[in-house]
Amino acid sequence: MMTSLQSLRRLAWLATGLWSWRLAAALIVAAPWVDLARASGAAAHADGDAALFSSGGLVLLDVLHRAEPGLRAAAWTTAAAFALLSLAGALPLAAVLAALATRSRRGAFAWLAEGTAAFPRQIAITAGAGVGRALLALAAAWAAVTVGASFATPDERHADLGRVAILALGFAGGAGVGVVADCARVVSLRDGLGPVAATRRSLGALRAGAWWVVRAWSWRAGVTAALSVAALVAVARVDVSRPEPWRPAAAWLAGQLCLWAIAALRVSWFARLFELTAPEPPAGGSPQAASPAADW
Amino acid sequence: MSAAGQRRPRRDPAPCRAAWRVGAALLGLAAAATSPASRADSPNRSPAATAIQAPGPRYDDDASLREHAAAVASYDLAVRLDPVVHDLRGAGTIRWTNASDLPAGEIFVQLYLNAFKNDRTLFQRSPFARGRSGRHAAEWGWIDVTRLVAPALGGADLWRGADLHPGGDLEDETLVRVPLPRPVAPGEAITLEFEWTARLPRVVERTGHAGSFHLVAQWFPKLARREPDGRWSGAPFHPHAEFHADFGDYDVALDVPAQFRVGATGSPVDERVEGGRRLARYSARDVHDFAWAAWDSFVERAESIDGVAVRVLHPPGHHANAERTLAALRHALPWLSHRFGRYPYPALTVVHPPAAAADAGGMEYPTLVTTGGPWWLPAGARWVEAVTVHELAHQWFQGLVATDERRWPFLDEGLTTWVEQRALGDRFGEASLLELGGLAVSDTAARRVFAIRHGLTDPIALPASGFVDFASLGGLAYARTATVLETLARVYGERELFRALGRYARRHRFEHPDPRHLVAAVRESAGDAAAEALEAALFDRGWVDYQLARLDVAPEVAPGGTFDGAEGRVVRERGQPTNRWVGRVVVRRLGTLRLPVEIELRTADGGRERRAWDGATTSTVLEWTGSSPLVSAHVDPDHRVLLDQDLVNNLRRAGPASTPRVRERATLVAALLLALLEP
Repeated sequence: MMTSLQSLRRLAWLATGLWSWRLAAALIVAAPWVDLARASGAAAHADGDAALFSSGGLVLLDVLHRAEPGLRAAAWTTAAAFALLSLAGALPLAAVLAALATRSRRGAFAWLAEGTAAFPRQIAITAGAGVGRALLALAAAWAAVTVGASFATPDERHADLGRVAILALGFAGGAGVGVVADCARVVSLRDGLGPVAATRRSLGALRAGAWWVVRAWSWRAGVTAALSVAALVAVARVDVSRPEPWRPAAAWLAGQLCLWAIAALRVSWFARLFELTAPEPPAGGSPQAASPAADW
Repeated sequence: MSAAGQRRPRRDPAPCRAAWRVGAALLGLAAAATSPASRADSPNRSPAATAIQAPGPRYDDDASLREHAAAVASYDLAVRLDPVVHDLRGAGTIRWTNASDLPAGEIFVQLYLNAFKNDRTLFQRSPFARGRSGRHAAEWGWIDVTRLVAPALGGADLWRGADLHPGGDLEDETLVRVPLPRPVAPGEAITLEFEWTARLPRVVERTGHAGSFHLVAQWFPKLARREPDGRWSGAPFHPHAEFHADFGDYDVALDVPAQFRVGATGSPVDERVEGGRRLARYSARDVHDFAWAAWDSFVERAESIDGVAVRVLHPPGHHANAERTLAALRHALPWLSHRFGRYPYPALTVVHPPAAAADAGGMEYPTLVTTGGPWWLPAGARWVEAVTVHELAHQWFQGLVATDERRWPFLDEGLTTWVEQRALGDRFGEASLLELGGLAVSDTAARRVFAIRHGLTDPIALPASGFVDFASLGGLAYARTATVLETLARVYGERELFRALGRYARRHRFEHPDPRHLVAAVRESAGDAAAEALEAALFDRGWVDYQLARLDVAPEVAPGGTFDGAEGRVVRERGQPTNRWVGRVVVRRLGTLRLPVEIELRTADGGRERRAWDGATTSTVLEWTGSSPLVSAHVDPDHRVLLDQDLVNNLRRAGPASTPRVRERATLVAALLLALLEP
């Protein structure tokens, strides 16, 4: 059995692995924009691309205006890369799940091999969740437009807040689909089930321990949202329009620290799901009793 | 006439400038030829070379400000609103003085609401030219004059002899010619009595209704303006055009349902409720238009700002916007009064239309402006402030300095846009348009993009009908004019340009100046070079693009060869290094505008050096020698020449381009999205 310290170290390594994958994918997704900036000529400034971030946006808007034909191409390339890498992300995630499923120290390659074997089932779950979320988003958008238009009051806030409430419901539904999909991923990998059976079993497990799952998910989701905002705020606070080279480095570090923490939360969520969806309740009758300190 | 104000002969008359001026005039002619009222509205004409007296330093402050306008066309109106069918029924009188130098045997009356009468009007007929909002009228609007009598001219109903299509366009009734029984002599005043009915369209082109909200603008039979040379400046209502009229005094009695709140041009004189109707009377002096709004859901916020009674009428839920509007006015009202002459009216009303009537927002009428923006607008998005300040600035440029918006749209929209940029810049700095997540975008930078986008298409100084579409008018008359003025301010002096516009605005208060008056004021305060750049930019499609064409750097070597000197013949070996560096920078100027710039040279040891270039030639070569190699050169590093077509080709550096910041930011955003949307 692994000690808590070992578990923490493994979690940190897995988080680092997941973060590394995301960083590599992000570099690919961002590449068209970096190329666009380089090709624009703005980076020929003595201070590099600092002028693009100068207050007032004079150079930035000039570059965007001039790069207009390239913007569409960059946007399409980015969207395609994003879609492909999002799907491909199921593979490193499966490897992380494989690592979490086994308590022994088998090494990254073994986990990757297990993840590769589970990849078809994982990608099917991902696709199913994507379709479910898309349908929910469409339904929420339709309801927001339809219901919003039915508010006959001169106070525009009523209609707009009604729309926001509907969209929030849609978002909550999408989050719910995500939770079910995560459970299904865990169950599928651990029990070797197909996507439908895994989803069915995970729904059963969720029914049995809904409170624990919601609790485990919600605080992580909250912290993830806070970290996302913190990342944006932190990099915004570093004035990269100044020429010193440490400024972009500091902004990068601040942002990536937040991203690493987000990755760690994701890994810990899956670790928790392994416990919450365990086929046989541990002694004590409830997942909470089984591992009261494990929800980190 | 002061010597400074005299137009000096051109030192270097550019043939293309003259050609473009002719071109602009021809475009104006072509536009007017398609106008059914070309008889009434002569084409856009070049300001030509008529000498115009510059305002002079006495207009640097308000001591010489004119107190009142000459009342040429004054209206007493009474109107009743039916809020269900959106009909108006009105009666009134016009006291009109023939202020021209010639007898008037006819009058021209503008019936703007007929622009929305059917799909064949000049405003509606083109599926492509659809006005400022980009929309046609969704519901019809019209106006019918039922009686027009001039007692002093015999008392007959003059409308029976009216020519509804004076320009020959049988499908448009927005300009009507009414023959008079006898000519009205120069200086003679007559009174016209009239009655009319009208129906307001659903909000289009800043007039109409949306539910029970009504913005009632261009709603009464309005006399066209007669120029001093006897020419009537009225015109059919073109989708791009705005308005032009004589100053006068207005006394208007409004009759609306009792639950309605009213805002109008001028100041309230009387208001009472009788028989379920609210009867409100407004009086306005020294104005050339009258608009009003009525709605049963208006919320009112009032405050005295700089001695002016300000009312903000807004929809429920827009309290934050009302506060933002007032904050903008607290800054802008004294700011404008200080620079362009005090605001002369006792009241100002700002109407914020509801979202369903958003097209009614962003319009100026004397002492009444409309603003806009959703209730949830983030504080960092300055939409409310920008629209409010823009429309307020129109109180000076078009309200008080009543230029012809149809003939010279840049004279009001361009100056107003520049003033808006400056006023917002003084309040919000570089974040005058947007401040969000560390990103600060200025109004000036955003407008410049539109100015550059449209800079090489048409001249700025076209009549409204001469622009191919409203985007072109917006890019040129609004954005490019403002960018021209900003460039002049940065190159020739901010103080000088403000002084020029201050004198122009004070001197021509309650008048109808044209571009010559503006150019004369700029010449007087900012100099010949500034005035010539202004003329070229306005009339000749003046443009400029500075380019840093080459940056060469090499180690300096001692000259080799055989040298004869005082010490006799010396032979030096070639290629001996001196431990110094030489550099050469080639700068080019494309385009027709010749504006002075600076070039910044930077060296590897962090050194900086600025060189000045007057831009008179099409290129210049800068030679440089120093102990550290040149690493970069930058033309116009302070971005004084905002008209520069391409800011990025002003740079060159030795070595590869680096983009660490873009990579950092783009990677962060991509990684966050991947994390949040991960399977």
